[in-house]
Amino acid sequence: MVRPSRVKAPALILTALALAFFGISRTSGSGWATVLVAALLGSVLAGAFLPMVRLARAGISVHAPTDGTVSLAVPLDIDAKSGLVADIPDLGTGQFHATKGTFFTRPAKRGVFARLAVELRTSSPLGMVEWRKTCVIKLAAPLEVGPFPIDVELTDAAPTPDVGEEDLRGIRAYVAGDSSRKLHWPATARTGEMMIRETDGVTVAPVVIVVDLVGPELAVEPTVSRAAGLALAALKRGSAVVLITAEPSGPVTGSVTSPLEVSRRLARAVVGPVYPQKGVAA
Amino acid sequence: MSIVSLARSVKSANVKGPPEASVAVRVATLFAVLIAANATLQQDVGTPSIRYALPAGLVVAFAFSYYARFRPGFVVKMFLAVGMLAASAHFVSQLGGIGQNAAAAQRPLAELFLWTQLLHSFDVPARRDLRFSLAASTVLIGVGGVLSIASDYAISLGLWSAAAVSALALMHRSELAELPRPTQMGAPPARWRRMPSRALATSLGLTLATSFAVAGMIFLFLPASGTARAFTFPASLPNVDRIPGGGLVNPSLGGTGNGKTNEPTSTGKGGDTPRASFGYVGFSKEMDTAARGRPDDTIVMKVRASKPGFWRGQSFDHWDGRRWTASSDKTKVVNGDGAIDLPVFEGAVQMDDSNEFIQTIYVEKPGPNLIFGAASASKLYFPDKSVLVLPDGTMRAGVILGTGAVYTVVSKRPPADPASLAAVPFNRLLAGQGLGQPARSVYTQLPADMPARVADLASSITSSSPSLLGKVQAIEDWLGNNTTYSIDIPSLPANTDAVDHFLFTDKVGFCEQIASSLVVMMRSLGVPARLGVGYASGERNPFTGLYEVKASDAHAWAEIYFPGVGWLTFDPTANVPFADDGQVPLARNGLTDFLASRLGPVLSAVGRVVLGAGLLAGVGFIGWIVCRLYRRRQALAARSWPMVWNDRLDHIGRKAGHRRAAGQTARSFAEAVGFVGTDWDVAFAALDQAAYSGTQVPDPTRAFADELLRRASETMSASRK
Repeated sequence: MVRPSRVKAPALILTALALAFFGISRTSGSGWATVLVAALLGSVLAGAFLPMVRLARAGISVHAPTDGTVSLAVPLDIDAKSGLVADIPDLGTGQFHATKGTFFTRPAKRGVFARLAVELRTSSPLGMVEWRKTCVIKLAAPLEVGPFPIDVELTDAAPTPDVGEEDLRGIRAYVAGDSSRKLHWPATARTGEMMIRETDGVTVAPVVIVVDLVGPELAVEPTVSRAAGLALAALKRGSAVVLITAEPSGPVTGSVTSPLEVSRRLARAVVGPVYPQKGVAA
Repeated sequence: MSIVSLARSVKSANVKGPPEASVAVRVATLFAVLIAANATLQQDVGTPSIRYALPAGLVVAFAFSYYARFRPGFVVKMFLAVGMLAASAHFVSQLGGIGQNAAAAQRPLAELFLWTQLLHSFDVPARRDLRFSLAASTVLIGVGGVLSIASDYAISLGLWSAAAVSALALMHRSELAELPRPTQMGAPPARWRRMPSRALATSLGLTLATSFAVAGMIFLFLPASGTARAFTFPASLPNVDRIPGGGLVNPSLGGTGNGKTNEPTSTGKGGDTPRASFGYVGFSKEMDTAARGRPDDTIVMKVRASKPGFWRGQSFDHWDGRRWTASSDKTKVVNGDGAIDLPVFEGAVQMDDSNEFIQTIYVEKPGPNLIFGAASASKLYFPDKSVLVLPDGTMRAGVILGTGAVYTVVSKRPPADPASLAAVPFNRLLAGQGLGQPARSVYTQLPADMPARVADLASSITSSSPSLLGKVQAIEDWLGNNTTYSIDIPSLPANTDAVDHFLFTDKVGFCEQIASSLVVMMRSLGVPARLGVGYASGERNPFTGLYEVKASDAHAWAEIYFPGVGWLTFDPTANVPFADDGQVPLARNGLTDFLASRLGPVLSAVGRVVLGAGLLAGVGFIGWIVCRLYRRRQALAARSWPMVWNDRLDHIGRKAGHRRAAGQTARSFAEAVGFVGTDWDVAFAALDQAAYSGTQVPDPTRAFADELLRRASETMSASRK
């Protein structure tokens, strides 16, 4: 719905001048003063309602990539009529002069954006009265904005990648997070369930990062950023990384093997329980 | 608010804004200011120095502002302050000789404003300053409009509107350009910021067209400009050329010398210069109803008034059966300094100011030294220190009223409306009550040899009307029904009573014959009456708000005395309302007449061209259609039978609501439409043979297939109906 947003200075000045000349025309008898009043009011009304018409007819299309990172530039392909001012509050962007082209924005918020609300404003062509309209645009694929990772130094105590021989100590059932390389295929074939071999060698457990977010939304962002930094550092060292997060659908546990996966997992992370609750399937 | 905080507020309000980089914005604003300044200068504003210096000065000032936009501007401001002081001193010096009339201060004030605009233009670094310039140009164009009485001001106003709207649009674009844009982050699309000039022109054109259209609509519903609460009363005289003796002179009737010494007569003969085409013989010592010839359509004066009226010049009270003359030419000198209070004469009714009617007369052609104005004038703003007033309340100037003379008359209209006037009963004994006996004798005078049938006719016409107004209206109605208005009438035979001849013989005449008849018949009933002479209201120019009075609007009417009300004007040949008809005049009043008279000839010529072009276009279009049909027919004839048959099948299918898909065979399409059966199998076999076998299909088979399609088409048409 198109709504008036702001009356700007030129409209007020021209209206005041029109009123003044109306008074002059009524006291001086000047017909030209009356014509000028009509001209001024005509300009004000045209300037007031042309933006409304323009906005009512205007549409905007936004094409976004599937991934982004908070504070890092994300290219948005936008297509809008000239003279429009656009604002995408979901991404925390400021207003910009919309037109056809690629606009780089820096998302201020982490999250998954399947739709973007774009507020269009215009007072074109004369800049007299500003009107606004909010368009909700469904993206072709959701834009997943991950956290900006904080640099983290891994300590010596942190698990390191496996480098030595392995002595089979036993076999157990598969649990989430186990590497597929540890599968004991004969036992798996025999039992029909995935079985994992346990060794006594210098086997190193994966780096398991539990992203247990508690508190207000903004307060948890540093935690998410820290988790991102931790995961990226571990991946960089070559460790297997398991992320345990809460997503809108429930707790999710899974290994990540690339920075992109880390970003996507953490983009989806929300405040909530990270372990399966009683009676709820994990 | 403390002084300190007030000072801070003022300081913050005057903080220099960011420099405006757009040259286009500056050029558009400069154009608006230039046009407005020139429009004001055209209204006889300013000394020659500013008239020549302003256009070039504004261009230089805007250029200087552009190049100095990054500088602090303190030194410039100091110079401008000195300049403003000088301009103000010049303004104060001009105010010294203007007397009491505030209208005389209009032009010095406008000149001061022009100086302000010029000086300000040297310091417009920011967009806000340019907006101020634009607003100032609005005031300037308005000042010019207030001072202008010419129709061609529309050109200035139109050009200024276009420049101002363009400047506003460009300012807005410049404002938008300050918002974040792709170039900030690199990889900008080429020329994203520049709107192509064609798109810009389209946008501006659309905006202008919309603005003009909306303005036109608003104009139709705005109340008309009015002078009911006027604060200024224009009065000026380009040349002071005194008339010796204070008599009536009328250069437009010709005569000896410069027209100052002759005693004008109704014939306009007897001098060494001929009567001007716009000279009216009624503006002389006498009015001879036997004289023929009417003045032309030259505009002789323009009148700024809130309502139409009769612009009265003089009246005649003595009738000899052929000529009207004034029984007394005694004038009274009334003095004043700019504003002259006029005396109240016998028969006038004391009125309050509620019915004040202000008229400003702009003389366009040199004419009589009569001061025109609606009855009854109570105050006169005149550029001379004295005027001569006659017993009937009409006025004469002691100077020649040439082109460019301006004066303002304040009249008080009698508080009359048809309902209250109809309540005034007619009583012969009471007729003329309020007038002294000598005046009653003068205004009921009739020639001794006037045929009795004139009085008899008046008596018979009015016998059934009990009120005075009823009797007047009865005579008006009779004149309207039994006589014909025409300015082309035969000569009056010698020794003939003009009224009698008009009423009983010719029955054709113009205002002089008709008004004289009304006056004479009312006098025959004992009612004081006289003949007023002047101009009808003229055509209202809805744009200037002025009544444009042509020489051909020269008019004569009857003035009849109503006891307790005063002298009222009656005229069956012109519709002029009483003092208050209760209607709010609108700005559009007179628009259709104005457009018809001004645009009629143009539209007529344009219409002929358009009609001719339309006829040519129509003939061309029909020819094009015929040609196209012929070519199509030729093309169809050149195509093979299977192609034609296929097209016909497609056409019939479309009528049935089916559209043939690309690659769909004729058989498949026909089946989809519902054309199945043995007959169709035969047709499709013939089609395949003709298209692909290279052999000829027998004519009967082709005819059978064509007939099949024809029947299908008929069936389809019938089912659609």
